[in-house]
Amino acid sequence: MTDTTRTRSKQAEVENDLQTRPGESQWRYAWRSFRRHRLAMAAGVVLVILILGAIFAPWLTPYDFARQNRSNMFGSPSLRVAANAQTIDKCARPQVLWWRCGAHPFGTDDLGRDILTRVLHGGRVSLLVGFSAAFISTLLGSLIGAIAGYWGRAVDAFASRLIEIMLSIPQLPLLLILVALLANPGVRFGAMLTGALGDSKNIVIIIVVIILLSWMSTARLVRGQIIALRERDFVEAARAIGASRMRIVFRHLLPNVTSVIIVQATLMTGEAILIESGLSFLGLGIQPPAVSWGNMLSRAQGFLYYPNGVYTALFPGLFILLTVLCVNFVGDGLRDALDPRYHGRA
Amino acid sequence: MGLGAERCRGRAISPSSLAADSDWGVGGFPSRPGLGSEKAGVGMATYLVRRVLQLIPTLFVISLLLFGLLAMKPGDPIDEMRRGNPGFTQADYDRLREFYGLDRPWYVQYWRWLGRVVHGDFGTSRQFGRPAADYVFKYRFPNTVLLSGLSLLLSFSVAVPAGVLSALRQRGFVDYTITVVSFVGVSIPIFWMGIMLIYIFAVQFRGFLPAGGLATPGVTGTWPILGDRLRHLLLPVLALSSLQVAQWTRFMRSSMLETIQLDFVVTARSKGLSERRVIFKHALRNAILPLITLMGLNVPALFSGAILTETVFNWPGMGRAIYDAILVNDFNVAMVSLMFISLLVLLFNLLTDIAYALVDPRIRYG
Amino acid sequence: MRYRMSVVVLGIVLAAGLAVLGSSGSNSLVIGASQEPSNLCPWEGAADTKENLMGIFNIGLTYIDSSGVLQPGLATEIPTESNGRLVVISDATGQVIRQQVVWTIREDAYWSDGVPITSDDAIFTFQVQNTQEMMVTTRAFSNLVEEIVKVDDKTFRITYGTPNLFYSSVGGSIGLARFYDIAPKHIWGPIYDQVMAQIAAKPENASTIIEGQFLGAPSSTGTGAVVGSGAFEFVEWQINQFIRFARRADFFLVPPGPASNYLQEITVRYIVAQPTLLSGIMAGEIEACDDISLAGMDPAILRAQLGSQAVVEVTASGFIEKLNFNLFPSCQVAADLLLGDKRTRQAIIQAIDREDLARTVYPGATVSNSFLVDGDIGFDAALNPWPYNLTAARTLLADLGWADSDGDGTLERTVDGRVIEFRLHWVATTADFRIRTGEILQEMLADVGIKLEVENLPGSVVFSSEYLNHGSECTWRGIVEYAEAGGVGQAPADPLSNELWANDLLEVPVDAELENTPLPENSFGGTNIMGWVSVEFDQLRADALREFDPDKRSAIVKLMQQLYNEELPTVPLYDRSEIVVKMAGLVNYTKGTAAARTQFWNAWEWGWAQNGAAAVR
Repeated sequence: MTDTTRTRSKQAEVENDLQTRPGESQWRYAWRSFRRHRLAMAAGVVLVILILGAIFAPWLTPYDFARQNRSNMFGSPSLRVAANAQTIDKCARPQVLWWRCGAHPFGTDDLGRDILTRVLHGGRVSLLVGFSAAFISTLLGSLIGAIAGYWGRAVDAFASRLIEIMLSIPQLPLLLILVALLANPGVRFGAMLTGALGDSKNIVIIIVVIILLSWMSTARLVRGQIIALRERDFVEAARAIGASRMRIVFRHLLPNVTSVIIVQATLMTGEAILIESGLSFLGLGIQPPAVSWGNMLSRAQGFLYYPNGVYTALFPGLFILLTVLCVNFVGDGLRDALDPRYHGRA
Repeated sequence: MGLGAERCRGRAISPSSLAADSDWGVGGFPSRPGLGSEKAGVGMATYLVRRVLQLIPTLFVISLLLFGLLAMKPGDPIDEMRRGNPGFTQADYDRLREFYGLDRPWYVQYWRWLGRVVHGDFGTSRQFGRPAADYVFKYRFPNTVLLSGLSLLLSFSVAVPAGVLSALRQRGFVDYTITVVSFVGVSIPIFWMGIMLIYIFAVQFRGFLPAGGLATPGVTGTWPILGDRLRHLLLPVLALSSLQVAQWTRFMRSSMLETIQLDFVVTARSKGLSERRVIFKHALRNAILPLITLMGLNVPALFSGAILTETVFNWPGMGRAIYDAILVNDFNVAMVSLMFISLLVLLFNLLTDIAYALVDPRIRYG
Repeated sequence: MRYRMSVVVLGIVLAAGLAVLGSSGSNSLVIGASQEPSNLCPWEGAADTKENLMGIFNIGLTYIDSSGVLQPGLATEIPTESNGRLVVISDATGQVIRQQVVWTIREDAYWSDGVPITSDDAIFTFQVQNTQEMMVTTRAFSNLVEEIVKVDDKTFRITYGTPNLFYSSVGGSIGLARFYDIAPKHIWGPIYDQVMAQIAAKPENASTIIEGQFLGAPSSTGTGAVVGSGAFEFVEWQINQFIRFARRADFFLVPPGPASNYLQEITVRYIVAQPTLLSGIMAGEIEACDDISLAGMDPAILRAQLGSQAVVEVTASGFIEKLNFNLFPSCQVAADLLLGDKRTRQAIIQAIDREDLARTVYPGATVSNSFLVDGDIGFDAALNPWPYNLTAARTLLADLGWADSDGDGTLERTVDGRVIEFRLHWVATTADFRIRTGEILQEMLADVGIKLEVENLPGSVVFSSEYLNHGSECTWRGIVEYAEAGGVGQAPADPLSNELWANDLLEVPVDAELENTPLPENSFGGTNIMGWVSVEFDQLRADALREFDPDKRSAIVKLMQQLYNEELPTVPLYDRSEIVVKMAGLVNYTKGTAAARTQFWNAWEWGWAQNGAAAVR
């Protein structure tokens, strides 16, 4: 047996192999490979549930997330309605499936608002920021990386230098400075943003800042891939027939890198969610009365000593953990499925 | 911010792709360097000189950018004074503004700052009235070093055995458990973990461990002081290490897996060496190298990035100092800390590049 | 094997650390505080919450005790007209044109290093305060001083060019921004001379020199000789950690019984986060806290957590949390909402259940209806309390032309064809209790159809002059909420509703300018950030500040409050309560009233009952 066959059959042994079927597209193969990853599949299902829960949050609960009930602050978590509950008039609707108005499965917070409702609504913001920041940042990074990788020479040198400088600046303080600057109404730009965006200004600012600080890794990744690919035959051929550089990049090179980009985008989502919640925790992110997981945690810090105060901290954090965990599992599964370099490493 | 898998061997820009801010950086796990091939025609020494020289303009650009951003933020410590002193008049305000040079445009302020820095004078902290460099390096930096250093040590001591174990028992129950735990560690928000730890150990078990702070004053005697410090360090180090342990375990694991399958290991096995020798003498030593690279790149981030842990545990470290300085526009403290960290990042990138090149004969910067 | 060993060692060390807990040892006290001073320079005071601890190792010519009574400190007696130390000179029209006060320092007053305190120190303090290049925090009061003249080693005379009502109050005599009036010449004199010499040589570097050599002098940063006039002496300062003091044997104020029964050592620990501070208290590491660090906590919760281990004391702070309205006609947004019409403000105050609000966000606070607090001279307890009354609020708003025409829950009105919705912008800092206040107010005002747009910004933004002083340009366009001390009290730091006057009618000749209202004409300077101009109020204030007879002053101040209560340029919410926690057995550690100004005014009397200290307060 030759070396290659020995290695391949060894690999097959090791992996309990998934052989490609004849005529199967890359995507079908990837999907089958992903399905075998039980953890990733389960995580995917949970993630979908969370996303659906976030999207339909306003209709899923009997409560309005902002409605206060100052006679029932720091209520204990319970599935039953308390005997002396006077909450009927504070609810948006009397009942949703098994959930009666007056029952608080996760308890109530420091102003008497239902925690589960707020967690669901918080998920809307956190997930929105996470997915859009990751998606756009990956797109931007891929573009820059591809152009730098293919154009080479001066363009590449400039882009690489830019990436290096951006990576050398302490990321976290830069994040803080940028957010503090853009959210500040005293700064001209900040005032402009308030005028243009109104209430949603904070969300946009956070998304923009996260994008600004995380496109670099995708850019380098894609750049590396493009550099490896650009000497290949099919690119030579395209050049020979006179295709323009842009066309080659977009129609020939990038499609081959999509798998890497997808994985990157997924993993970036988890990061973005953690960054947003960290920022909100420090007080620079989503501002009350809008609710996000991070700013729920920020508030909860001061109430650890109050009876039932810990629940205001426990549940938002748990949900952040759950979401990011699922995203990471899915991302890992995708990486196994899509990226041939990682076969056998799982 | 992200952790990409894009380290291209042979073409040395900088391996800083693997760097991450300790509290924040997630995005899964850093992975083994891929195989690429790039050749340029420059020798090692020339490369080194070029890199060191490049440090200066890079630092310059960074300082300009940071100073400009900071200066754009309105608000200064004088306004704090105004709030605290109802007797404060507009005349006082104007006078103090002129005194501190805040009425000049930012580029003039930057020029003056630069002029002083070149002479080694980093200015006075407007918050604390003492020299900014003094304040940061004598009172904040050591605390962060302590916290981050211990967490680095702890993470390393846990990650290496866990990663090796995980690799050796691949696909087994142990591997599975360690994998899941690692994933959890990477996904958990550090500030939440800190809050929960405080709740369990300081609130529930009243006073078992302190809920933060550096030390209890008035404790005398070597052993009590040591014990007191350790008590205060326990929870923050735990919280800070969680992310790193998780990341490094997985990294060690994949690094180990890759090394085991390499030819020289197969050779060693076929020579009849005991399994134990093969693993520990040959495979481990090679597998640990990339982890050390990763650690090296993580070190600078530890200094600025531990801010969440420092906030939750009231740890007077450098991360928190930067944050506070930014919020109240204490330029001098913010600038000296930020420049120091930038310098560290650049230096460590360079060092790890060199170390990697020296150690791995397959890389040529030629 | 090695692994097991290291675990054992770790265990031993931890156990040793644990064993250390609970051993308090000598007669000492550990105080927890959240705000650390920037430096110990006598002339630069940033905020009095940070400078609180100055009271431990310094004392002024006078001080105010826990009953609100002014007592002589370094001075032998308080100057009054009857003992001849206060001489007021009026001109032909009865206008006070000059005021002379004679102080005598006690014979047994020494600095903590044994040097006697003399009138040279007082004159030197004033000299530095007046030096133009110096970066003193405020000259508002020292500018009133015409001259200080030495009469003999222990006596000096201060001459004021305008009437100074607060000549005997804490900080009112010479005008330092701190809790004491006199700084040590033998320590700061040489520093000052050296700095001034350097400035003379290189005048363009003045600010750097002062920053580095004066503010940064070892006596200011705690690394050199720190000398004070108070009951304790400075021992050490570990920045961001703690400051330590030791009792002075030669202090002239003594508690009953042997001094050894009282505290010999005080450590003030700086802990920024409240949960950390609390856990320290519960663990017994911290034995008392200052008056502001636990602000906003619920005293009931604290009592439940601490049980009989500690005593929780609630006092008024003198700081009234209030809603300041943008009354500038030039801000279109605010003018559209008719904020300038007092009926709007009256409607809003009746639409807010202030009892409920105070109870929820600041347990222990009392609702306020005035700009003064109980204990201030002239405080009127009989003002209109503006009780929670939704009907009255709705009626007032309807009178002003508001109606919910489109049924969306928010009021509208039409002016010149424009439809204006009642969207009220509200700004405050990001302090926890203010975030909660914003959410509660939002809900309460929604009941009358006002849509409150809540915005919490960092303190450095809210209080920056670019923001706060430009209300006329609509930087903030509705309400800005913060707390301020408004009392006339007996201390000049609260000079009679600092932000409600527009024209200072005290100068002669009277000018027509609105110098306290930030407008383009006066470069946006001043503290009347609302833009409220009431000639009647200004006149009453000027009269009150010129009136030396306390009863007459009281009557004038009452009129001021009635005017304020009716017009409501600001809506007072509550007088912030201060919460002090102290371990059971700690005696005489009390502030008593807001007038005492600092928790640390009587360090010489603190002690542990179990060590024989007698409770005198």
